[in-house]
Amino acid sequence: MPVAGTSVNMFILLGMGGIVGFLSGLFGVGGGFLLTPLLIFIGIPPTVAAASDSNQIVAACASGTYAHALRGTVDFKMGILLFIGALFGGTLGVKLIHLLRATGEANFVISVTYVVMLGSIGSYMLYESLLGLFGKRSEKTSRGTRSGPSFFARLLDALPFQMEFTRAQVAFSAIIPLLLGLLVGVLAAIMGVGGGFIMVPIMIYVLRMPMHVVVGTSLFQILFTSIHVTIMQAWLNQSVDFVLALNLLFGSVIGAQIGTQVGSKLKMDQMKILLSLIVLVVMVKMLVGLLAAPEILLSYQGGH
Amino acid sequence: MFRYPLLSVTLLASLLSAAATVHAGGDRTLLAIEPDHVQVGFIYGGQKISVRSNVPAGDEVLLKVKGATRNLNLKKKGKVFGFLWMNVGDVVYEEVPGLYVIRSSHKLADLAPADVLRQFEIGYDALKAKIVTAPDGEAGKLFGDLIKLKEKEGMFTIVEDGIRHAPTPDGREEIATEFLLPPKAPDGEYLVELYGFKNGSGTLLGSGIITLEKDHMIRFITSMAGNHRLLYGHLAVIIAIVAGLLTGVIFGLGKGKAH
Repeated sequence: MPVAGTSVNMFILLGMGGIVGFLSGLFGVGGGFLLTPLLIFIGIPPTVAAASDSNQIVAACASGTYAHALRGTVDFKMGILLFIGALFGGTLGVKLIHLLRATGEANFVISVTYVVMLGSIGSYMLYESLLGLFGKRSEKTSRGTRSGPSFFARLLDALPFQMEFTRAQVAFSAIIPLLLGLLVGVLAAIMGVGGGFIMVPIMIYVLRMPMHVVVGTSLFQILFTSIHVTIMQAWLNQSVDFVLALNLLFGSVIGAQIGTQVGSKLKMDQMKILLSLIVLVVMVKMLVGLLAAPEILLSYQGGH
Repeated sequence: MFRYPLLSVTLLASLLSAAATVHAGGDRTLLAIEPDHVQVGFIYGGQKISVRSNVPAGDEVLLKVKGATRNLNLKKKGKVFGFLWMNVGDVVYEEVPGLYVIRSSHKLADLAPADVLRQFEIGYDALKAKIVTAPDGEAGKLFGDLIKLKEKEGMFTIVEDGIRHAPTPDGREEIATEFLLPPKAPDGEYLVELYGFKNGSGTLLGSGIITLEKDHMIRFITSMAGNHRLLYGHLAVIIAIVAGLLTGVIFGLGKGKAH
């Protein structure tokens, strides 16, 4: 790998991309949040793993975004606002990584962010799936129950710069997508993810957007956020390895095809429990790395 | 050999130090290094190097392979808040070889006394004496961790009893050994030296050079990523988009997933 500065068997990368692609096809989620930790486990420096994962996401999202744009299932107004927020968030995140690399703490911060995010998401998914399995899933959304608007819904309505998003069939302040974009941009830079695993639930449960527009708009935002983060990481941190990214892409495309076929034969709640357990296992492995006494008390500066 | 000025100076120094020992050296033993030129491409996973030579019978032999040296600034890990392991300080080592490989026919301690081994920079104790300026400081205390770090990468290896002997009809011995030029080895020249030991003293029997270089494409990409970062970033994005659209066409994708 020219930029990672190490050599990894091509078949391991294809296989890893394949496994993550398989999970992606099986569970209907992207694999960005699993791919970076797996790359770290095989010895790719965390900063390079996250940045190259962003590059891989550009490739993985390109055709999906194009297809959704053709189908008219992208709310461009919302997507552009999200992207403007992500421009600032991504820049902030890349600069943070740049600063942390200089002090030697970038790897630590990436690992901590992963532990927190994977822990929260994995636990929530497991909880939701168990509720679904036992038929107790709540119908409530953050914007309120059927009996009336929630505090959050009233807050959304009270914010300035109210806007109508025609294709998404919703109306709220422009500040909301800008802030969401900012958050996702920061996470994209630190974790090397697109942020869809945060954006999609928020769009569905909090902003109450229709599902077909959620996926298209989320992909649009992910594509442009990942493009921005890739260029910034290459420019500021020299941490993008596109050879690594392409290997992962080809593996994941094939894996996703197989995963989709297998997924159609399994029950959704059981699959979600399985995914949440995978996410939690990865989180625990990273947590152990932070808490257990390291085998070697010395490491290279700057993540290499 | 003298096409490589830096290594030639190192080699000359080694020859002079060898001459200072009991054995005068005499005829240089030829080393057969296979391959002595390694090119790093996209699927490079390290290169096994084999070394053969014909040495005087009765000598114990040792092969040393050393890469270019540079100062290493490392981070020391320590416990913070009583439970989190973070970087807590810097540790500096001077003139650390990029690669350090030892293959010997016997245990190092059985070949020669420590001062002789130190003279030839053979063994980790000798290396410590060379690269740690303050043995009682952090660098000295954590020297074992530096060795573990380098051994984990495959950049430092010592294998005692790692050389095969076979007598030849002319009363000498044919020796053979192998080592791996690891995937992380940087491009450059690596000095290979074969020593003979007898009665506690050593002689440099012969030497050679291995050259490792990246192929044109790898060099081009590395140079782009380092010297034309903004352009490289844009190219990485364009390549990713084209690859993504192509795979989309080939595999009939287009269904969105959350990343």
